[in-house]
Amino acid sequence: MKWAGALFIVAASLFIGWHKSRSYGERVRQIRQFETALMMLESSIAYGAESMETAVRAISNTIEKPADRIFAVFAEELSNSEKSAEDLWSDVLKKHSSGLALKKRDLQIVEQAGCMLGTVTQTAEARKLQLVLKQLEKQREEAATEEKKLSGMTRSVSLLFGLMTAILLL
Amino acid sequence: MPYKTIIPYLPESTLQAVSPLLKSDPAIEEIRLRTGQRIELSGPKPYVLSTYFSEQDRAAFVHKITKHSVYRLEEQLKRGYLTIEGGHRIGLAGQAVLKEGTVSSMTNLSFFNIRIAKQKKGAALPMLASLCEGGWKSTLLIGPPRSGKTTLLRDIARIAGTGEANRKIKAVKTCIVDERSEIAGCLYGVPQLDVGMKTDVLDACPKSEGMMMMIRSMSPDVLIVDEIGRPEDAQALSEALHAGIAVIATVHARSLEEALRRPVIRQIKESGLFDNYIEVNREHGFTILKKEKQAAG
Repeated sequence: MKWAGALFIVAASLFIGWHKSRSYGERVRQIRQFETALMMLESSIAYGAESMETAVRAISNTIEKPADRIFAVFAEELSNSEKSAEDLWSDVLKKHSSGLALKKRDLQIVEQAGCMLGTVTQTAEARKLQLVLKQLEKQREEAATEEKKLSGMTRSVSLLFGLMTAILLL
Repeated sequence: MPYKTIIPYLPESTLQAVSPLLKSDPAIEEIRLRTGQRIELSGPKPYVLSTYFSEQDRAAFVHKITKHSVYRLEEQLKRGYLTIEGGHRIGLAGQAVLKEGTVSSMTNLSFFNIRIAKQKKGAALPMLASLCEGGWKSTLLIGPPRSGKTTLLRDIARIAGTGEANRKIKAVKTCIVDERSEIAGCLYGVPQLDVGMKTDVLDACPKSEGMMMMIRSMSPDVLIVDEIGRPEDAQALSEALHAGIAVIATVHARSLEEALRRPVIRQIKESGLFDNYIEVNREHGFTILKKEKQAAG
């Protein structure tokens, strides 16, 4: 019985460590998703032929989970609501960001992409999105460094913690 | 229901206020929305509603008409109007943005004039005998604003481009240079109003340049153009008329006499290239003046 309990503690610690370590990689992947999406939006705006709703819907069909859902909901809101695109983007992020691996600062930057969205000229839209993309690039680099540094260590520490707890209890 | 396509663009509170009147009075021509002011509907019978067009309504209306995409409307904002489905035009006023002394865009849009496009098929039939007498005749329609010149021009384009079997008129290649998107009401280059089967439309292009482009590229039999009056228009008109193309154009004036005060119109008249001059009045009556002599009423 004792051995079974010890095994359970080690397995649980390993799982927690694996989950935490995975979240580092997931953050990098999700920042990259938003970067791709915003680059697509920038190019749609530069081309100027599509409405915001059409462009956002196309993005939602192209990018992977979980960011695709955010863009799909945003497109839906754009087609129905009388609110500004900026408010809608902010609302959608608030409602659907709980499942994301992004940090608060990452989300703040992503939210900035909505600032004045759809209300200014092509040049102004492009300039603003470029700025957001640069900030996201920085966040991604930081997230990648963090992943390299902490991912392996988290797994090892959690294993050690599990083993130590099990030994102490035996 | 010509206003059907306008409905999705109106904010909820505005829609509730104007919808019953649009349904009950089909003669309404314009919906005037001014931020902070009462909503106004104009036509033969004007209406000033008790509902105000609020700041919130303004923001919602701008989001709806721009579809949250101002970036793709820069040219339209510069021109001061948008065309929506159904050929309706939304005139815009707000704060002009200047670049090197010329208007480059408009911001803080606060005043709107929705002009309801109504096609009156058959409007040109009473004058058809003079317009097409063994072939289309070059004609200048003269009339004050809201006398129905553009409606007539649209119907002439439709008849020329589709033909009129009852009068044994065959369809001919017809080109429209629609500088202000008023004749064909194009949305993304596609006419929203019936302007004929064999009709090509050059939308939002300056008239003089557009006329030359159409002459060169589309070899029209009939060329339709609205509101001539600039010196460069005379040059392009002369080019078309000398090329044997029947030009049907309009000019803003209450009479031919008043129109002739403009040097361009005088120059065109003196050249003798137009076969007909038709004066149109606000009661939608008309007088046909054939070259020098007056003919019918």
